[in-house]
Amino acid sequence: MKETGRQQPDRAVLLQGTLDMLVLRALSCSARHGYDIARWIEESSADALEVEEGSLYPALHRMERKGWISAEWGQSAANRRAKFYKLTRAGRAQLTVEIREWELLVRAISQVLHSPATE
Amino acid sequence: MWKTWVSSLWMYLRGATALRDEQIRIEIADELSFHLQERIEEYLLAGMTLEAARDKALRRFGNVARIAEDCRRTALQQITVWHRIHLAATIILAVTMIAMCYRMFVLFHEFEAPTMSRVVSALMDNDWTGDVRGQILDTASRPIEGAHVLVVVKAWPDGSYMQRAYVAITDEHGDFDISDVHPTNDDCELQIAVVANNRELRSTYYRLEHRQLDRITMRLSPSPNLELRLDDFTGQAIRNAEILPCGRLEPNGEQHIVYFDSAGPIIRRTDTDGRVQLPYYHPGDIAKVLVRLPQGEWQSYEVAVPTENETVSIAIEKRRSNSPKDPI
Repeated sequence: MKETGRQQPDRAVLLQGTLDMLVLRALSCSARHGYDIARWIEESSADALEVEEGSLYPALHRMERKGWISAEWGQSAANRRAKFYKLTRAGRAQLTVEIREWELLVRAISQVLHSPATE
Repeated sequence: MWKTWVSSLWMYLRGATALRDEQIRIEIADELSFHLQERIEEYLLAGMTLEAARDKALRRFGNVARIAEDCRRTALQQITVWHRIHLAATIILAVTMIAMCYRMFVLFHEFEAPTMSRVVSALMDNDWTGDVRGQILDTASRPIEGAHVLVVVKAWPDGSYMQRAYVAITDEHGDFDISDVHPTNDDCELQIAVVANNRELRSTYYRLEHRQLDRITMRLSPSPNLELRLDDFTGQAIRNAEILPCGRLEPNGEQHIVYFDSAGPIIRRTDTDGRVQLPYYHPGDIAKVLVRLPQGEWQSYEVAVPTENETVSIAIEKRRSNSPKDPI
């Protein structure tokens, strides 16, 4: 993910390492090709997040190698040849782990931010 | 996870890595091209010109060649692992094969059968000046004249094996002397058997380690006659068959052996009644004999020597094969 705050101040700065979790989440509902994954993340975040495409595809291949997702060629909605990715059982388990870790992190950061400032 | 590994292994085994690499390049190019086309179409729908849409899509995507290369490296990583395992296994196999070949080469040379020239050379190197001398007496220490002394020498020159046979007949003093029959600068074994009429068949064994055999004395006790009769399977006497007394087993288990290759002079023949006299055994002994019919092969027999002075018959079987037990 890249920070796009200078051009679009309403977009959030994302922590490094969240791309895998978001991709896995995008594939948890249905099989998608890379463009669709990027679009889904953008639309689901109401355009608050923009996927850095230069990172998306190496990440997809890396996750495929780890066995979290599998891929096969098919036809897109526009009847073009596209590579579709889908979540494997290992990928679903990994998504659960990543969501739990993310929630722990968010809770911890939130706790720090809301703690009273003392000298 | 293991499925991914199996899948990548199968992918690796299906084709050469170079071919697979090319296939991956094409697939990545197709995948990235599809993405850019979809993005351009999105911008066109938003009202951009084709040129502006293409520029924006490319700018947003980044360095296509670098991203494609990143994807290729990632995709090939697992195949590369298999390729390295393959290479390592091939190297290990090659090294093992070379080591085995080398080991076999060394073993072959270590256990190479000595050539005749090597044996002859070894014989020439050895000092074969060892003599076999001695005296044959009866139990009253009187000399036995005309006894056959059968000597077999076993030696191992230069890792080979050789066996030689010698025969001597005792003189009126019971003495015998066979010169230059065994090595004195190498290990050897001597088997000496004595066969004399109306005397027990007796043999003795010596192992010499780099030395000369001392003069030997053997005392033979008297023995009664043992008459053998050979019949064929129809009960007919077999005449002119050769009989070789090749051994005597005493009741106490002591064994006396006559080596076949030294025994030529003591071979006897059956008479017209199929009978032969073998005055070399005591009652209670087991007499071991080799029998060869005319135009036949040697066959071994063992007979219990009777206490009474009676004839022992040997019924010669009609054997399926003429091949004998190996004569000693």
